[in-house]
Amino acid sequence: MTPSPARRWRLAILGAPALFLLVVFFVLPYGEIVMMSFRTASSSAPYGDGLTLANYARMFADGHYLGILGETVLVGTSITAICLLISFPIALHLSSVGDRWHTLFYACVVSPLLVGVLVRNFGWMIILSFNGPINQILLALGLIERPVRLLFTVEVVVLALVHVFIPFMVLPITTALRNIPPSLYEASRSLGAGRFSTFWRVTLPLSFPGVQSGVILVFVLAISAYVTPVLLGGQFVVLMPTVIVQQLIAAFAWPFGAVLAMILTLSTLSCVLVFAFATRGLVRRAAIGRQP
Amino acid sequence: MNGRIALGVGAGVGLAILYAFLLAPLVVVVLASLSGGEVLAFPPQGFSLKWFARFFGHESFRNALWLSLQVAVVSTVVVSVIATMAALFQRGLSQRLAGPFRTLLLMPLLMPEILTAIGLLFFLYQIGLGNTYFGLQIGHVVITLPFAYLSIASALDQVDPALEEASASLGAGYGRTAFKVMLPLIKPGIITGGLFTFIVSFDMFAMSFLLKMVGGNTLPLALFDYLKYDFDPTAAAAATVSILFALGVVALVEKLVGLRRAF
Amino acid sequence: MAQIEITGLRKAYNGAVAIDGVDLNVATGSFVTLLGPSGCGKTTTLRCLAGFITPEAGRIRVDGRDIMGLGPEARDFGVVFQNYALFPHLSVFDNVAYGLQARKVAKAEIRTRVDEVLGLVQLGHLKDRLPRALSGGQQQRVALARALVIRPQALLLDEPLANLDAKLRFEMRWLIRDLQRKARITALYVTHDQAEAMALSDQVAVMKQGRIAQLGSPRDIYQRPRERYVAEFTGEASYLRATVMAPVGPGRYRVTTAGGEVECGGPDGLTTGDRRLLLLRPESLQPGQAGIKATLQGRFFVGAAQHCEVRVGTDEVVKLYLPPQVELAEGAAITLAADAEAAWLLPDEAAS
Repeated sequence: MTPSPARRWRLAILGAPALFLLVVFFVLPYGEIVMMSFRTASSSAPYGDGLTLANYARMFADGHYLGILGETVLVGTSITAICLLISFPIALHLSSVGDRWHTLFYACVVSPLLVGVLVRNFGWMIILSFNGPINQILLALGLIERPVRLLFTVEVVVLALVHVFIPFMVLPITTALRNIPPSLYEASRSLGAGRFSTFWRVTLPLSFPGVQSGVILVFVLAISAYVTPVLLGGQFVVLMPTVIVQQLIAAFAWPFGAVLAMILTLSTLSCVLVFAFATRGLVRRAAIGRQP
Repeated sequence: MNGRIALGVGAGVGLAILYAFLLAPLVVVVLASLSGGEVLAFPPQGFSLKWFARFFGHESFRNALWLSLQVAVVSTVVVSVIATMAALFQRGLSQRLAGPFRTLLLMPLLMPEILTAIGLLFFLYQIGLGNTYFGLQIGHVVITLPFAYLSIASALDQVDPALEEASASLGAGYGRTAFKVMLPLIKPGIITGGLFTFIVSFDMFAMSFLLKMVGGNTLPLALFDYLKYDFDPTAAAAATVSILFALGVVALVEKLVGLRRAF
Repeated sequence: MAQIEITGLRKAYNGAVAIDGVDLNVATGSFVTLLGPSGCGKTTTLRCLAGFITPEAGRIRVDGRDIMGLGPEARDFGVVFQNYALFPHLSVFDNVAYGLQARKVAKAEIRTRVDEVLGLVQLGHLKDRLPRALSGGQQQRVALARALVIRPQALLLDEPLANLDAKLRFEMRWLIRDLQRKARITALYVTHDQAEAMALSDQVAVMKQGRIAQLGSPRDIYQRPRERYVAEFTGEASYLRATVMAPVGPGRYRVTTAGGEVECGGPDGLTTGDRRLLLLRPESLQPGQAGIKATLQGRFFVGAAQHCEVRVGTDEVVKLYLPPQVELAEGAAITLAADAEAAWLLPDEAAS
């Protein structure tokens, strides 16, 4: 049925606000980041006239910023890996509980998301402070003699970010697991494969599409995390987003900040593309397809 | 059989630890805010609501709370309307176009918030809206739109197209069909989407941080500032207020829509 | 090759009883079918046997050994599922080899055995394909091959043909029966399709509300059902209220009906005056000189025959098939000669 003109108009009106909003206030701003990376720096204003490549040159000049980029990618990778290890058992559990319990556990998994990153980090600050429960327990157990400085280390930042990103890893994996027909487990068991063997040969491969989604999502989020490294890492943990924001807010060097943002984005994109490409075979095989 | 029981118990304990890990910071914050002592410590010494009193006594916190509520409410209303329209739009698109449209609408969710914030910082400055309330509001709307859209679009996907056809065959125009048939059927999706929009806006940090007006703070920003200099239970009270709002949202979802249908 | 003995099996879900005391003996190498409508408990029984469900009560013994405490992976049954349950990420070859790999069979032997069984189902040329590239019939054959290659002590088949179209279903019947006979493997089959059950089985167990209503050969079930439910389920049937006049031989009686007197078969021990239902199969009735008096009520021409309905007495209706060329007017009187071998007496549940 070819839409009548009236229908076309109506459709256009419905879609216009969202399209306008996103094109003007989302797509254009990203274009602006690219533009900004080529603008000249200025001492009196966020940026000056004219275009230049000087900012890119500055980024690659000494190893300093590249080093920070490298550490950011490394930290991001560790966070993703640890998050995956912790989230998979949770996803297994969540996908197998009956409906009545499902809502409760689902709420537990999603609840950290509902309170915002600041509150979560604040909670960790309390737990890990000098007088906090961790130090108290360690003292009580006699494992240490004086309270240990737990905050302001990379490890803590990793821990807190893993905590934040667990829901993002758990949910796609749970969805993938729930799509596996139970009769496949029964078939595997009936053919003689025990629980562990079934897990290894059926569950794991077929959950991979969810794993891939979760890994990509968490990696991107981990690389671009700002609040947590600042609050829990302080000046001892310096990652790219921290440096970028510094350039924008403190140093008013917008063009250079834009360059750092561009490089960070391109690095992330490359990592993601390489990962997606390398694992595309695994994802394709695991497509459940039509069930009779 | 004993091996199996031991494995079950071990798995249960492991899972309990994992779930406890998930909820620990929230629990700690709430309990710390009720502390009767003078210092931010856990476990809390004594029980008191005085920190909440101090929280509401702080002018900067009060203003921040008010700003957060304002921005969140405006976001919710605006986004709900735009997202509903967008979902209806997508329903009328061909297969080929519907996919890319959906991806575009979900982009602010898929791209890191800090990057979107940086882009808006640059862009709004260019058009003269840098560090204004309007700019801040736009940032919140852009980030929260995908949340509402996801909820509404998936509710709309469940509506049988035959209902629209039946309505048309009975003589109803599009407007009547939309308002009398489709919107009522996706009401749970709209409500859920609205509530998530509210809470995401309320808790938003990175975007607010870069786009805020001079001298204006949202609650998360005020808490952030406070934590730079003071580390006492007033901050915990501020954080608990956020948690209470989140719980309120969940309770409202449960009451109006039912948690099952929402998820 | 194993003999299976099920005793007193009982399983309920949330208070709703699925099976309520099932007793069944499956002789070594025989093909037994559980037949019944959905909800009768046939699938539940099979799944208890396979080990996917734990019953509340009852015992399952294979060759005398109790297997209740074993998990599905230890029971050595080849299970064929209704939706095939092929592993979507494994090729046809790997799917079939799966059970052998679980049993740690040597690679070379796996290859030989898998190739052999794929040859039996004529899918050797597709062994590297993924399941989603196969048609429904081909997938079902892979499922069969996978269950057979492990040389299990018995085959358990849960409505394996239900998702195939009618023509395929018919062809696959022969394949299944063939493979089972050749391998001389004990088989327990579940279906709601009575023609399938009768064609394939040595013994049919008709199930009703969680229990076995009657167990017997297909011929027995069809010709000598013990109750109306079984008669209904196994084919077209009509019933006339009948009163026994006198026995006329072992298992033979003379009865009177609204349409006259008839000679028929029945269970032993009936006496004069017993009220029963007379089961009449449409293919066993013919127009004749002596028999049941009836009036033609309606008929449908279906090509190979005419499906007719005749009225007997005031309110009873009997179905019969007439050859297409017989001309009869509606309302005409007709006398039905009933084949005494095929007419059978059933309990009349309404007349108690």
